[in-house]
Amino acid sequence: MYFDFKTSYNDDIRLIRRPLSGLFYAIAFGTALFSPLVISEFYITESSAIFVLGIIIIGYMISAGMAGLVGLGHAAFVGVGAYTHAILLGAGVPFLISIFSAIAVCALLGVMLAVISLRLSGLYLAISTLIFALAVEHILGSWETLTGGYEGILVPDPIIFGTSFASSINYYYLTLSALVSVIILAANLMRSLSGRALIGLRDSEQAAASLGINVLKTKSVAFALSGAVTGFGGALMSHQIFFITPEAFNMMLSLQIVLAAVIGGLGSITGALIGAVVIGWMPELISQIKALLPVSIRYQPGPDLVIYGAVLIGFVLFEPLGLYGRWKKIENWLLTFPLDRKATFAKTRTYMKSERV
Amino acid sequence: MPDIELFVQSLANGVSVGAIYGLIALGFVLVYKSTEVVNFALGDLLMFSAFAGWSLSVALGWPIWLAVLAAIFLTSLLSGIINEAVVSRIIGQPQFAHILLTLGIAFTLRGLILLIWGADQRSLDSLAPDTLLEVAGITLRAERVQIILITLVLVIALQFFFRKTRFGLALQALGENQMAAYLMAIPVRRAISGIWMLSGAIAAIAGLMLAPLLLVDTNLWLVMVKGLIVAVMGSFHSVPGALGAGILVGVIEQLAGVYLDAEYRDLVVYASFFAILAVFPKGLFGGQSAKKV
Repeated sequence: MYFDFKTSYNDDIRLIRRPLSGLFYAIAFGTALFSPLVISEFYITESSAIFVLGIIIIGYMISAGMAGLVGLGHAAFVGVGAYTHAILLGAGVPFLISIFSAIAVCALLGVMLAVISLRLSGLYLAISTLIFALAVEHILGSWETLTGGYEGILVPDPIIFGTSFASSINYYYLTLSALVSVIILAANLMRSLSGRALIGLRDSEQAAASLGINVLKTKSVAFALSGAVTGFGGALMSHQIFFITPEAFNMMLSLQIVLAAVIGGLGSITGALIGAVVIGWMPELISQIKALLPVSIRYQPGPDLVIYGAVLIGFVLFEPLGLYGRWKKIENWLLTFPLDRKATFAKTRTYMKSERV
Repeated sequence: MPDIELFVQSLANGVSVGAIYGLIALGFVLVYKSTEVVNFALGDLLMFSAFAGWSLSVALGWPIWLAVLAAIFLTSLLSGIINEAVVSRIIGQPQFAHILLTLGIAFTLRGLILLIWGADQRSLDSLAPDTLLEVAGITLRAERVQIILITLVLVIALQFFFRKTRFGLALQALGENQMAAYLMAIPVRRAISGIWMLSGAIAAIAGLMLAPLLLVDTNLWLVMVKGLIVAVMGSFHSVPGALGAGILVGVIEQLAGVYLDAEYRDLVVYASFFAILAVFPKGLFGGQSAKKV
């Protein structure tokens, strides 16, 4: 159970819900703005990678967390965004036009996916998005005249109005501004009419339809927006990998996006950012853990998979709401200090609820 | 080779590969029918069976039939343990939680297999003798005939099991309504574990028949994707539906491989998957059913 202490109707749709969280956002933004002055080159590069990951995960969150359309194939959008951007840049198109074309292509791809899977939901949707991503990866690999096939293509440096953003510090500010605009977009979306329609769709499709929400249109909007934001992230990501191949956008990336969303907490922007930080640092963490292992298995891919799997299992079993959900519980305990009881968040006993009639 | 012979030959190959896909889909269908969980770890259970079969028959030198039986038993046991230890804990949570949980199990299992056996490729012998059979002017490998026969026998046995036996009927009741089944004194937890073991055993049989056609390596789990396609096409409910859709996918794949570029084989399968879903959103064998509000 969660208590929201509201005192006016506007509390529901305010951008900054509490004065304290406004302070928190300001501190976070200030830290991000000024930290390149003190941290080393390595951390600057790592942080921009996390910002880009954050954009991608917010993109996923728009369809999975808000509209409840849980897909397992968002790597397709990342891949198409990256490839469109790289191909257009390679053809000499200016950076801004190229990146907006990448966004448009991904939005179209999202509409396409929506049209294919409009009548599907739940499990079928998850499987069909998984297959969709596999098909896109395959097409990227075999359309050699355009994408260079499995040999990959080189991504030109980002140059906006004659300024190069290739250096790590410039790229850091480029990704930071992109992330901030995406956060503002997503936050505003969540309090706008169409965003609330998405949430209605998630909670009950039938109820939403009976309240006059056009389900098919809203689903297409959800996929288009989600695809566009994810593709934007993909286009920015292409500058980090320099040389893109279809294998960079395989099923593992799709699953990493899902993993990040779950670890952070599905359904909130803060959760998406927490997830991005955790997943962004995961390889580093794993290499720290691997250093403790015997030499014979230290350089194998096995331990990585076991750790990823164990983390996912642990979160589903013990904290399905993710780290953001855990933080919410702690925050609630602090806000209601002497009143909190053990049973506040106690799980009730559940039985299997069938999705069939 | 004359055209018609090539066609029939690839048709037969398609049917035998499709039978394996059908079996994998059956592994999904059985668990889904009774618990509405899709076990994304099935591909890795299948891979485990192939590696276990290799270890027993090649590394330990057991006779192949004994190794195959033992591998099937081990995989079935592992599947049951996975259900008891992990999956049964989240009964009643939304479907999304189950998808993520079984994905997590799949990662862990794949990582452990990599740790135990490494990434080398191995080859596994088949139960069938390595001879060619001549049926009505078409030569078939004994291996392929054995796959089709075993699958047919399994599907008929399963159909009999679900329709006629007490335990099979109890499992069907479980699929309809768990709470009601529980009130009718059906041991729900034990029955679900039984279903998981059965599903694991079927995946193991599919894996051990597939491994001789391909190689035993850590990409073997990818065949799960084909199994999922087949299960969706076959509507996730019926046992014969899974087999029918499996054979359809197998034949499409083989014919696309022969008459188009081999590179487009998988793409044609994906495209036909979406085409069929667009026309029949409930799969080819789906009846009328509505969703609860």
